Amino acid sequence: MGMASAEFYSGGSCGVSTELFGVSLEQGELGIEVSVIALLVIAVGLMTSVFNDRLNSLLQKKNDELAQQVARRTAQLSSTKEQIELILESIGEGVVVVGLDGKIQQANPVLEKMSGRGQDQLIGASLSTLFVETTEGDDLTSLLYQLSLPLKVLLEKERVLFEQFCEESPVALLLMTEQGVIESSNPAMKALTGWSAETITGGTLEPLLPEAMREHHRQLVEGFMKDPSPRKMGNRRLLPVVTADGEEKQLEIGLLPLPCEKQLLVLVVLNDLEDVRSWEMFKTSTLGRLTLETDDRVQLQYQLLQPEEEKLPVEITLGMLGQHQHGLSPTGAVLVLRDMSEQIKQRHQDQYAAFQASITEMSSTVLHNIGNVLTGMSGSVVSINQVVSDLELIIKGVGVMQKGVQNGTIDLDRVDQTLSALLEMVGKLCDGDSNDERPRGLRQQSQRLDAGLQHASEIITEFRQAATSEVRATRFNLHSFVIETLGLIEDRFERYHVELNMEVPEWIEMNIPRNLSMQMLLNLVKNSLEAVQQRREGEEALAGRVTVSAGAVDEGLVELVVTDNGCGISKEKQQEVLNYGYTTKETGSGIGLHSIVKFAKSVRGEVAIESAGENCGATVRIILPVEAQESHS
Amino acid sequence: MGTLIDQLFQGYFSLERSGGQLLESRYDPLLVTLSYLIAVFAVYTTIGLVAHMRREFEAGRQKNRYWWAGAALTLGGGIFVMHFVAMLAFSIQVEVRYDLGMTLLSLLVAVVGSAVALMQIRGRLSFPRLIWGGVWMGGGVGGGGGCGDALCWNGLSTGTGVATLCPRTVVDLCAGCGGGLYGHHGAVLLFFLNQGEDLICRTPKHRVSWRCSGSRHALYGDGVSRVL
Repeated sequence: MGMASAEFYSGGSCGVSTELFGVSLEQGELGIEVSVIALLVIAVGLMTSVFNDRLNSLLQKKNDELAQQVARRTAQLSSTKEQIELILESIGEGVVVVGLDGKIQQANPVLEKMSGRGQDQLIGASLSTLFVETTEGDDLTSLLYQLSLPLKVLLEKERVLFEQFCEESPVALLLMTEQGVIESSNPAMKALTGWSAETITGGTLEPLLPEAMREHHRQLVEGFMKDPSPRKMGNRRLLPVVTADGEEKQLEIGLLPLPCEKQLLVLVVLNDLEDVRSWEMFKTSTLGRLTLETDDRVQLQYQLLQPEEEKLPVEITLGMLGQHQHGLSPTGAVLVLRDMSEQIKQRHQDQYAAFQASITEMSSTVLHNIGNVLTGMSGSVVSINQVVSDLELIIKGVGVMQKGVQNGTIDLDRVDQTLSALLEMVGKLCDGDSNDERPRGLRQQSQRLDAGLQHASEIITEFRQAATSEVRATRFNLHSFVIETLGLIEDRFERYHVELNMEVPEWIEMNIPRNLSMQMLLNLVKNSLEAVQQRREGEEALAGRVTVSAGAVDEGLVELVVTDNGCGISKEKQQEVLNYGYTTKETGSGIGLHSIVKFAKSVRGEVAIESAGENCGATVRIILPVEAQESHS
Repeated sequence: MGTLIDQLFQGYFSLERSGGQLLESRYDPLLVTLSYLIAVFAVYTTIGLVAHMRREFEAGRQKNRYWWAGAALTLGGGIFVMHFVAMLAFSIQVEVRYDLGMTLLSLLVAVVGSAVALMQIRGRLSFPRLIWGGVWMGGGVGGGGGCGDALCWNGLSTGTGVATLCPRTVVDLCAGCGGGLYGHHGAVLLFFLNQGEDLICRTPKHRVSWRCSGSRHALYGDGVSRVL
């Protein structure tokens, strides 16, 4: 069989053309072109495969890393959860975790013990069922709801609640539009600047600013509107404000932009830096928390319901889970319940001990006063004894004279003269010598004894009244009341060489618990005396002075002021000294001023302390109603 | 019967019997090399695409169809182009014409044969599947190559191209099937012998290690290209 001869050739052309689809091409060129195209197409497929594989490999690597991270984080979370559960179980206070709906999600064994309920009864139950019902405003669930709302939402969805918060705010607040127009202002603004809401609403803030400040303020407003980020309080950003009386005040200003659906509103907070009390109150209020986004925990006093209708006083520390400042919406809250029954018992014991100490102190004063009276009376008794001796001599003389008459040794003229002299003497013994400055007759001595007894009786009556915890409102004259009260510690003023001034009008009639008022005044004056003594430790030559004054401040209100030139109180401590257990004295209990505040509050009164600083003296102002509206034991 | 067989094989072997003495033929070494490289490269790429196909199929993802189509096109196209270029490498002193329909049919047969064969190795490969896949693969190789061969040899045959070529095509297909059965059998065996380690090289997450299997892919491509 013959084979076709074939050999390899090079150079591509062998002079033979090929026709492909009507196009005539040289055979070698066609082969190369087809090969190249085919190789390119296959290369695309290969690349796709390789890249896909690389991509998958990369993706897998990332997935593995992610899975490892997730596993690590899960392990961490699991460990943290175990720790938290351990802490919850071992903590000595009741802990409960609630959702924003007020339903209990978690509770520790201490809470179970405190509430007398098991986990099955607690989990899912409403928080309010744990406590004794209170007024609507104090409801824990509504408080949780309020604290969970960002201020913007509160303004948009709960406008009424927002306005109520503003009304109640102790710090001046203004709500302004983007154009700088005041939309609303609160009563605290009026109290601070004298500008009422009606006067300033609809206008701008400029009329409230000093002329020189207005142009600069306009620029500041423009700058703020370009970058409406919060301008927080606490940076001493001061704004001079002219009050309605024309006085200029430097107020700290804070701005909080609230971008609402229709427009941008700005909440302006104005704070008088000297009014620390209002600022503290604002900080702890719901609006303050929402405005300042503080981390402060809310502390509340409630009564936990126990089995068989028993009530356990508890202090609740409430903290929200997921704070606003971390960019999170709160998811719930943690409540730590502290059993306050022991503390309350201890406080009562302390108060009783203080009361006892006060009674002891008062007793010594009373005994001292009675001693003084008795000393005076003993002088009268000596005088009376002398009269009695004189009378005995007269009786003896009359007897001798009688025997002489009977014996006829004494004539009648002499008897007559003697009797006249005796009568005159007896008269002098009875009524005293009218020529004397202080007649010392039997009658005067008897009167003195009677007066002394009456005085002693009065002192004892006052003491008895002051020592009882009788709290019924009684009607009394303020002037007499102050004299009587100060009379109880009159000797101390003499002992300490302190001048006492009293400026109390005689016409003020009060109807409040007299004895508690007396204890209050005694406490105040005693504190003043001690303050003077304390200052004398550094200034021995100090002429001590305590002034008690009173006057009507408003219809139905009386202001009782006790001023001294003692050691004074630094500005930082002026609020703290009113708190229970706080004292600046080495031997103090921290109960005196607190009990004064407590009493004043119980009759809807107020207590304020003013002092220019240490060693500058102090003034305590107590505003009391003329008629007590209610009384508490 | 003898007449029919004669008729069938008349044109097929006519070159050796008569024209072989008459025609001067040459092979272009460049095109032969390219043909070989195309075969190796196509098979190498197909292995990668098949790996993806299998992985996607095992994961139950529909994406395996795209990889399967890509693999079939690559392998089928590779078979066709390899034969086509190899034919072009063979030069005789006659004018050659290529029929568009036949050329496309050749490509189509190669692609379809490859597609059906590859479908058999998506999952676990059983012996019947191997046989069935081998038949289709062989058909694809034979058809792709045979149809390409079945061209109008102008100057050798003066009859109608189709009438003359049909028997030759049938013979090519049958030879292809027989050869394909053997070839694909061998190919699949080679695939598993060579890729067995590659499959083991897969990580538990079914990741193909190209580095460790690259040389084997090339070797496998070489092996398969020889079968082709």
